[in-house]
Amino acid sequence: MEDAKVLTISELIRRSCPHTATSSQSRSLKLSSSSSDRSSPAGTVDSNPNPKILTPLEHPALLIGTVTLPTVALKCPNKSCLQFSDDLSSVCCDILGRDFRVIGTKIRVLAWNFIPLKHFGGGFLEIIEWALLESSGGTYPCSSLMDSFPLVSSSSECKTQNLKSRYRVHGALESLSPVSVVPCSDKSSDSSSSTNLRGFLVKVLACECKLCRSEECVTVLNRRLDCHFFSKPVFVYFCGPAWCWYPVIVKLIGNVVTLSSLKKKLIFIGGKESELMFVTAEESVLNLPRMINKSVPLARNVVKGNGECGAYTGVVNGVYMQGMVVELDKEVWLLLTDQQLTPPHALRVGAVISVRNVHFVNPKFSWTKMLILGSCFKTSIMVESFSPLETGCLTVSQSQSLLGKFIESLVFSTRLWALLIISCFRKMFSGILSEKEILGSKHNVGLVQKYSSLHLPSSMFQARNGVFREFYKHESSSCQSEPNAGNLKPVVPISTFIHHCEAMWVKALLQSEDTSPVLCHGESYKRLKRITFQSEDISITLVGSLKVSPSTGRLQLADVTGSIDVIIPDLPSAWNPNSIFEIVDYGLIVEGIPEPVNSSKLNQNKSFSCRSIFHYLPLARGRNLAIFLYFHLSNATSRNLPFYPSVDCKANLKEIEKGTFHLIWITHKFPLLQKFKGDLAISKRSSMFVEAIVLPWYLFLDGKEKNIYPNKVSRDELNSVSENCQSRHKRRKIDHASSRVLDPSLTDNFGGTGSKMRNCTYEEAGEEKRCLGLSFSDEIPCVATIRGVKDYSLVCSGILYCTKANVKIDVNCNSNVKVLLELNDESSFNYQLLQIGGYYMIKHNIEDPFCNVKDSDHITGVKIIMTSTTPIWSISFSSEVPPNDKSILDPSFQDSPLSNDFVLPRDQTELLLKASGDSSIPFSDVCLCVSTDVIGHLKELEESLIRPATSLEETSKLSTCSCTMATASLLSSGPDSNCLFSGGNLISMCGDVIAVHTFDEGTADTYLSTEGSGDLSHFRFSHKSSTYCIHVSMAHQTVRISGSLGKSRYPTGFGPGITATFHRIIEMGAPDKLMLTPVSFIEINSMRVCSEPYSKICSNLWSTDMYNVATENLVSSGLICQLIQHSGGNQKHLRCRVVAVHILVLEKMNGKYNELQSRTHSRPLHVNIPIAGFVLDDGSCCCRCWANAARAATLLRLHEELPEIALENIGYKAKPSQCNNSWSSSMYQLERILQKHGRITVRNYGSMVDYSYQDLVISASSDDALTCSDENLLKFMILNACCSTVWTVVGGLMDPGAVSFLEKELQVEKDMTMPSMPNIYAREVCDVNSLSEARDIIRELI
Amino acid sequence: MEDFFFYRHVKLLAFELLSLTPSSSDPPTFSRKGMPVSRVESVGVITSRDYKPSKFLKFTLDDGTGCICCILWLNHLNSLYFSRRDPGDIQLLADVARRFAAEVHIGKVARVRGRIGNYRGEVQITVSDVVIERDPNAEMLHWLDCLRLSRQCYDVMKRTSSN
Repeated sequence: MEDAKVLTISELIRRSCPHTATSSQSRSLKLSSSSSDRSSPAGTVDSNPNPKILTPLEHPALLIGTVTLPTVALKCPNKSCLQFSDDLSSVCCDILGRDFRVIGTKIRVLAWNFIPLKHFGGGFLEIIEWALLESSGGTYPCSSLMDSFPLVSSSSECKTQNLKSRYRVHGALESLSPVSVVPCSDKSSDSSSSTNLRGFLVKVLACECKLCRSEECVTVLNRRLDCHFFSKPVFVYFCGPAWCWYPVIVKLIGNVVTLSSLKKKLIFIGGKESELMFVTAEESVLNLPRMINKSVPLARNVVKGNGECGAYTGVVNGVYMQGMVVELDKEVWLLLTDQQLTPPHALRVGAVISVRNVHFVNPKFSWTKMLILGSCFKTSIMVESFSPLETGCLTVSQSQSLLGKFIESLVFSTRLWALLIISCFRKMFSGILSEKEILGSKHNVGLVQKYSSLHLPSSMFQARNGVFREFYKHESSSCQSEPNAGNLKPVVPISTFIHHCEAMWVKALLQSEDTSPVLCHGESYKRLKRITFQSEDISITLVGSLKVSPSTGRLQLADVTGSIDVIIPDLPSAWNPNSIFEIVDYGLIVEGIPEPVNSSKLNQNKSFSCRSIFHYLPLARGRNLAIFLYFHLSNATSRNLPFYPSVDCKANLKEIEKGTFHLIWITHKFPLLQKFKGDLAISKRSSMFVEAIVLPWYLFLDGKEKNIYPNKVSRDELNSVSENCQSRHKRRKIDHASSRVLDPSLTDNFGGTGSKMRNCTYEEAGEEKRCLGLSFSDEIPCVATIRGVKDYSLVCSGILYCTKANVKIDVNCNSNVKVLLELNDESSFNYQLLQIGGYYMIKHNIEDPFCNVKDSDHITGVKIIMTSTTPIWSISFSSEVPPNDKSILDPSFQDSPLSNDFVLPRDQTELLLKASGDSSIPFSDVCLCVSTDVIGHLKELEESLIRPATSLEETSKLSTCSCTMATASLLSSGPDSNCLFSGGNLISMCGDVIAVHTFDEGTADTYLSTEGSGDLSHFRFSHKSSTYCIHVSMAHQTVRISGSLGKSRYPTGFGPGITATFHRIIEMGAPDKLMLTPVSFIEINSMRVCSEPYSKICSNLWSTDMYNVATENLVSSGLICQLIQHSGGNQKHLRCRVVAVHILVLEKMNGKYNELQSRTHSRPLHVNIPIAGFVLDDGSCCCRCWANAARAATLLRLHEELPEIALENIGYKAKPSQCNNSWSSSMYQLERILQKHGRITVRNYGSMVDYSYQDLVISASSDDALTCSDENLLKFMILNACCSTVWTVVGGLMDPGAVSFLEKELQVEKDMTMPSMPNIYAREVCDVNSLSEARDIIRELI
Repeated sequence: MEDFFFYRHVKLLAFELLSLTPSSSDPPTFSRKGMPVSRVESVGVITSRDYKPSKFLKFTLDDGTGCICCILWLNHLNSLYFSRRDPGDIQLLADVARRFAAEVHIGKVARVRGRIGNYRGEVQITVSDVVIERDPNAEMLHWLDCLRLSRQCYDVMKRTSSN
């Protein structure tokens, strides 16, 4: 020690580096060894993942100075720190242990940590070991059992006893309040000046024994330990100069002390109530027994996590949000949000702290497990051991923002949630919004508070009072009981979310079975695995804006931290790309090649943690996975946050509701052109082209009869609007010759010369008509229903004016006026919105290029440049006003009790992105109610031009017309594909994608390679294009589509399990070999969103004459009788035939608002089959099989053509114009019948085992009776279904409860004699692959 | 035996069908190794065709193990058997049967379901439906089905019932 260098405080501050120091080498060794032990507590993670241990000084050193109590003049914002000062300067300090003789005495500091603090006094000294300066050996004499400390420095025991201050309290210190300043006026002085009285309350559980009530000496009290019983709660107010004892009293919580020479005073709490308390006086003395090592055990509560008070000791693992959140140990979160609470500087990462009187809360969040320690005004924190790590000190600055008050008013679990929101929003919107906009200010509410207020019910708030009132009335306060906040979901930055997705993927991989490789031409490729997660299982809310990725051209949900691809089936055309959406209800799909999972990595990613939000680290994506979300914007939980007042859905409606519009129909979208960096000439060019036909109609919306309603208008009201509109137009037509006054609002837009056109008649408007090149020979009244961004819809009347007399859209492609729309970079959203086969309306203005399109232009074509300022709205046509109630708009509601997931598991649902073969897109902005003639014309047009082939037979029929379209393509640079491929025709084709892999020559064993060079994700994420192979199943045949494409050519979600339309692909010599061309475009029609890999289920769809597929008996094949015998809920792959139909429910498909449909087949379903019961037989036994949607349609053979005999017999004679496939299909006929009757139920009251003895009773929901021919047709279809070939049905046994529920719902009468049979549900129905089945049986039998 | 076993269409090869033992009752019932058989399904090549319009179509099915005689009734509209039923339904059934008859040609592979019966001492199938198979592997798959069913189902059930 003799060698130890004496340092001054100034020297420490001047060094300004964190260090640890000791006075001798031996101490150094001792300390460093103990330091290293503590440096890495098990399972802890610091906010800085690699905290350094404090650097020791190179030489032994010591400090000499005095530890003093705090004074008001302190620079430190804590105001209640102990001070260490030498002759020249002073710093804040803390000291371990409870030997308070150190106060006011000169000491030698033998071991310490020093942490520089730039702004508050220069630094913070943690005194680990000290000795009194007078004592040479480093220890001090034990002269007395008691230490007495006068609470006011001028007082002493020998002072004359003031009679008023004669009270004494002997008891255990239970809790203390934070230091609070009370403004008070000093009446004693003449000036009556007001002063601020600092002070704090202490609750003591006092002893009321005889000895304590006697006037015995304090020493005697402490000597007789056995007679005391500390139970009487008393409050002592340390006010005036005595407040400076706060840092000492904090350390004494739980210990027995004697406070003598106290006064008793009436203290006003909260201004109204007054309580008699002990108050410190000038003579007051704190008496402490010398040996106070053991705390007195205070009353213990049973901790259930409902807000009970208790004590917790743990290691600090992280300090976040300016000290408002402290992580102790693992997932124990100490909340220090009350501004009056001043945590000690020594609360550093690595320190061991003891928190007293803290509320234990288990928030029961669904997304993570944790314990919250909620602090209140009774809470005190003491550092038990200083941190050996080089981590910063906590300095809390006082601020009075509205957000701070808001957070303080929340219950504990909600406080943590709100802090997570703050932390998250700051990361997500930094750079987009200012801190002030996010957090708010003293007078303005910020984003966080707005968002939180939207989500919190009133039960999550608690009334707050002043410090003293809350402290005094703590037992009756609301913080003792915590409401359940388990439903609150956190918002996370998107990059954090992506990492969470990757972790979920790894976890799901462990639980799933291995997949076998894809075999193609004798070569094997790794199979992609697609896993779906639902938001209710993830329990995370996402917030972000929608943007189109400039690199991939994909729609994404993005924040500052990252972006994720999204699929939004109902993306409205009119919306602000700056809007910020909150996505609560969504599905997440993660797809990739399964890799071996490292279990240690899995543990790290076990569950989502708050730490990942508080301590956000931008990390690169760890795995090569395709991750994307799907959700509906119309869903109430996908809301546009009220951040931007300009985003007003009504404003969007106003823009649509009035005016004149051109109507176009998209025939093709050309893929995004890749731009070449460095070539300015090319990079300036637009990369998005869309081919369209301009319809010879103009739509006028008059903006009248409007009725904005938030989805609450009844269907009757709507019909009355429709009727009113129609009758008005009829009247108008009658008066045509005399005075057909056009609506002023309509004429305003008619040529853009509003004032001139006001109140003019049609005759007067001749000049403007010429501007449009119109000769209005026909007008069709219509009703437009305009969908808003959210819940708002508007109905207004309009007129469709035809430009030619007796116009009909000519199905001859060449006679239509075709245009090429060129979209610039700013209108990439429009490119996203446009769908092939969709109708769109574009507002007319006087310089409109659409007005200049002439009939002769179809020869050369016209290019029209669309800018971001040209709004485009999607439009659909319907023969009736669409219902606008919640049941249609909200996917969670269904009119029918037989919703799709009624009997079938959730994982069978399929996301419908595009209505196939319908004159509408599923979620159009405007729905136009027009006559059936118009719809008929449009259907003809669709059928003839772009309807994709759904079977190989059809491809040959359709190819001619599609080819004509393609060769008439306006791409001047595009090659005439017919010339390039002499035998090939450009066709559009629709089918189920069952496998995708790269297809490079000579890479036979790619699946064996750990590099995964043969996987889709590899080529998907690389910008290079690869040769690949897509296996598509269409009408039970498999075709291969090959080609070289870059990443941007694939729509989000492309992969196995989707139904896609491949536009303008080319035949390669054989009908089952197809190739993508540079103009090919892929559209996803629907996507399977089940959690099971699609490839598993549809393995039987593989056609063995093309692929040497190893049989994947993941769903093992078997007999129905085996299913009964092993009724363990397993599914079997059955091969059976329909014997009879028990019950069948058919519904009209709502083409406009098709929601999640349960579908398995690619072929378009125009009718909805909520449920059907079939009797199946496989030779081993009969069973009743329940199926719905496409499965039922397949079993009913609805996609097949009806035999002529059936059509003739029932009185249908094909007209020459109707000579096409669709007319003669069961589906078409059924659709026609359902259009009239809405819903039809067929019940079999006859034999269930012999089709010829079925007694079919057909009932319709409409008032009109079914015609005899329709009834016969329905019966014929059922007979036809019973004489079908063999089907492969993947299904499992149904729970008897589900069967009885189903029968009850379907009102299956008792007189429907059903022999006792097992019940199964069909998950898949498809054709039989005889060869592979036969192979399987041989394997089984030999 | 449970209903669902009784109503099934048992898949048997011709040689087994021909060896089914009829009971002495009227109409006779059939059994295979003690297991009652009422409905059967058979797949084979049509080798003969005897058509009597509006009366019946008789044809022979050769599945490689034997030939089985099949009769498809076409007399729906004039048979008293159907007289009590709805004329519309009868017309539909007649149409369906007519369509089956039109598809039955010598040399085609047919899948036939029907009731097992006895005509002049010979086993005969009273056809309820005929499906012409276009898949050349269908016949082979039927053989294997027959084999599997007898091993895993019919014989097992017989054993269980005898136990």
